Amino acid sequence: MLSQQLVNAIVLGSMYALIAVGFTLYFGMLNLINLAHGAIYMIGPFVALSVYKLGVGLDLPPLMLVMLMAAVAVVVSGAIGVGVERVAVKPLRRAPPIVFLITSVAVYLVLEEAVLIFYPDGANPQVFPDPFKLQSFTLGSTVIGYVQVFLIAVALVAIVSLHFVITRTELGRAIRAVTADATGAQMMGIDVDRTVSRTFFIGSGLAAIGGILEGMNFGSIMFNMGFIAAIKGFTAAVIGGLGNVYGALAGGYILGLIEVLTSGYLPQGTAYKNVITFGLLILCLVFRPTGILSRSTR
Amino acid sequence: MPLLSVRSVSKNFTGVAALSDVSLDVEEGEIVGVIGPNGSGKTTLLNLITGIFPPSGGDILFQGGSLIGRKPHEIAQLGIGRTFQQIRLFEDMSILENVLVGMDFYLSIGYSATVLGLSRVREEEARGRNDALVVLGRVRSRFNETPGRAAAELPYADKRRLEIARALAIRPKLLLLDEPAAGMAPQEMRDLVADLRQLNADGTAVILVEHKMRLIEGVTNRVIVLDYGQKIAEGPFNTVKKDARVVEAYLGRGYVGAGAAAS
Amino acid sequence: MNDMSGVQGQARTFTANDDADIPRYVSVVAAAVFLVVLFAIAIIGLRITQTALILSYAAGLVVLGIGWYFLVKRFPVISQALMRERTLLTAGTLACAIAYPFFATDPYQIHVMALGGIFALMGLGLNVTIGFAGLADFGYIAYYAIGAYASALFNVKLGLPFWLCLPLAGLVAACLSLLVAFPALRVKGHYLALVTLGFSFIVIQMITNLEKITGGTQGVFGIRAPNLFGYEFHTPLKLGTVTLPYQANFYYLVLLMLVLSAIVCSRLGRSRWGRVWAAMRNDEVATEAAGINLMKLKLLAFGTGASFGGIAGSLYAHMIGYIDPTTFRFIESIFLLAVVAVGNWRITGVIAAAVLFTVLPEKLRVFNEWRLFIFGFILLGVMLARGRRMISSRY
Repeated sequence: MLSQQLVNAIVLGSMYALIAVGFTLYFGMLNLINLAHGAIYMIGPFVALSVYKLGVGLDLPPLMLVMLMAAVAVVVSGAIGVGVERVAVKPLRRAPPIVFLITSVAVYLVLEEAVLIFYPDGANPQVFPDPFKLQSFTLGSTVIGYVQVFLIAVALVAIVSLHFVITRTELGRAIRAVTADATGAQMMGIDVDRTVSRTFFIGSGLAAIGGILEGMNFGSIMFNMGFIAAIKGFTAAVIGGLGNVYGALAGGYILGLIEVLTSGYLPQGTAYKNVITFGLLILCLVFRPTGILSRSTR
Repeated sequence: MPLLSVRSVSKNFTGVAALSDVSLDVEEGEIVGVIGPNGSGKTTLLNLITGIFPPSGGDILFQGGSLIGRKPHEIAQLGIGRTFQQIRLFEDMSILENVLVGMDFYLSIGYSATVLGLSRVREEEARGRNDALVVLGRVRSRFNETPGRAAAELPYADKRRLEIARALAIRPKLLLLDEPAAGMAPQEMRDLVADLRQLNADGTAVILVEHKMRLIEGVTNRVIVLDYGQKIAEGPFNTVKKDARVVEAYLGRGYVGAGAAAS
Repeated sequence: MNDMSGVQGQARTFTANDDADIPRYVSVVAAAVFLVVLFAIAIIGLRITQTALILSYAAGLVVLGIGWYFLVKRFPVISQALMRERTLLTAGTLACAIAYPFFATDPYQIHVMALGGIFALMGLGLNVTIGFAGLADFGYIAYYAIGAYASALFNVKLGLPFWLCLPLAGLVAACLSLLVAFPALRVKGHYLALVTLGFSFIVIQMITNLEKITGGTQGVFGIRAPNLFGYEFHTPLKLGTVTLPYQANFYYLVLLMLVLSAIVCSRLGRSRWGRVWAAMRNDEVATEAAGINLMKLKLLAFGTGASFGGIAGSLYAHMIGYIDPTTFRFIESIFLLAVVAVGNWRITGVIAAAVLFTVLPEKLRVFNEWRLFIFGFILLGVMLARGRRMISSRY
């Protein structure tokens, strides 16, 4: 059912779009591929889940609980993201980018395994709550879950806020400047280090929201969910052109659509959807590293 | 037939015309200088000849055959060697190894033969090393005494010499030198002049891109002058340096008639 | 210029001084003592099983290692003496390796070392691609997987004997790498890393998907052990008065392949090919200007490295008798990268690192959950410490 798939595609696409933003920002500013970003995507929902468990015990009203979950997750993930930047990115500023790629894998491992080890029953999938208790409504022949509408709305809010920050705030200007030319930005008096840290905070926060989206949509999260999300997010960023934030967003939705159509309409589609993603990644890297979307507005 | 024939060659990079309609013929055994202010397209010309990128227009013929579309390694194998404006030595490798890489084309040591450890591999390698030492001997230096020394440890002028030696290893009929005298002291330059004259006597043609006019003066048969990608003069150095347009290119308007180009 | 590394382009780091000013017999004795001590340490390490002992052993090793480092710094004559006797040391290490099964108290110990040898084989292969030629291959596990499956299927479905499956596996892996190489070589550095990573995922996913051929998630079982002129590898090995468990058969086979591979790598590294690879690593533009065909060099590096992986896969398949897609995990590619880096891109170092990476986790089984966590930390530490001086090419 095409309209059904469309709804799924938009939800999926939102997840990918949110994680892709971080990838594209890190690449645009520092020419780095940061796979640890995937771990942040995973940590967000885990933090949210912990807050939920605490909050349910305290019998908080659901709306407030959800907002608290999101807020704490964003802040904690953002902080971890900044921590990663301080520990692993800054010292390797002058090293060849491939060194950082490997380092980011190491950081990813540390974060992923930490959750596996330290979170109670970390090895198994954890149930993630649906604030709407699986209620849905029907539009024609399409079944839409309340939660899906909610998630799309959340993603929209996140994206609009991002756009606002980029276009209307000083931080946004600084980000654009550093992405275009870090040395030049520095000479204009922009504190590059602080801008980079804040960018990591924003990228991580968005990824955390993306992870929560995944948790709420599928009802469960697992310690290793960050890996495939990272690959998909990065592919989305590449499709949109590394360094181009709006491209990354668009790339996320494109990827979501491709994935849904593949699993829905190709025989044995689900087995091949990752192959398609990787195939796309390879094709883009090899033939069009500037992205399929050739506009370079930021 | 000239050895090298650059015919009305142009090169555009997005929005910038690096070279426009430049032509140059180099005969066997000639030393031709290419001079001009910074940014006039000299290195671009060398890059076009060696195939690093294709021209936007025009043709380049070497020994009658077109070089357009050929890969850099093929062009080198045809007999065109070059050095670079920024020294591009294999810093981690020894002096001898640098030259051995330069002459790799002439070594006939097969991959399977190497894997199998056949004795002819060792013999061919020894022969190669001897040949490399001979090549090193063509450049005025003490390289032969310490062929195992790392290239990174060499003093600046010696590095430039080693780069030339490496380029000679391909047995070029034409050698492209990009500012070989940069950073050299007067005595080192005199050695370089002697080296180039000897090279020339051996029959190698040279295109010499330089800023040091003493070198140009002492070594070249004639020069061409580039300015903003266009050829503005051609002829023996002593004639060209008095050309009004050349003086203007270097010194700006208002200096015409002063009679000497920048040095 | 005669260096021990097997890799050219390291003129500064390793020049053996054969004229050290100590008498010959002293250095020979020193080398012999060094070897015996190392062997004893290894045997002890392999025998102890209690966690407390293992931990104190590991701590002792670290202390010893640091002590050795400073000792050698203070008395460089020590390393000179050892370097001079490098042929003796190599022969001695080989002798120790051959003797090892006789000192094992449990067949499993031999089995683990055989696995270590297979991992070392892969390490050598990756070292050719990334160490010699400077090409960032992050998907090495694919060659291992393809080699294992090819060998297994040739054996089970086509009935080919192991001795034919082995080289075929290497060939198949090499062909796969060429398939990867053509598009991959249009990109460099971390892009190349991601492309090779992507390819390895696709390969392993396809192996799982093509159920009819590969058995999908069920895997391939019934892979027959090698049979040498009627001698079945699953029979215990009788040598004179001593009988070794059958695992020793595989161990010696792996050891043989490892030695052959090390010889091949050493030959390549010292040859004209190692030289032009080093040049390509240093500066591609200058190498091309010297008349060298880069594409050919890169394909040779990819193919050679991959063939080692294919052979390793074949050895594994026939040793275990069963393979399935879960055997081949992406993280192994990263382990291999770490092995090559820790081994300092030298043949001996890579082999040592590979064995360590295989044996240590076995010893520290009690920390199973923590394995990847610790590995992540160590890798992070190594990268932060040595990151700037990593691969000496211009990425």
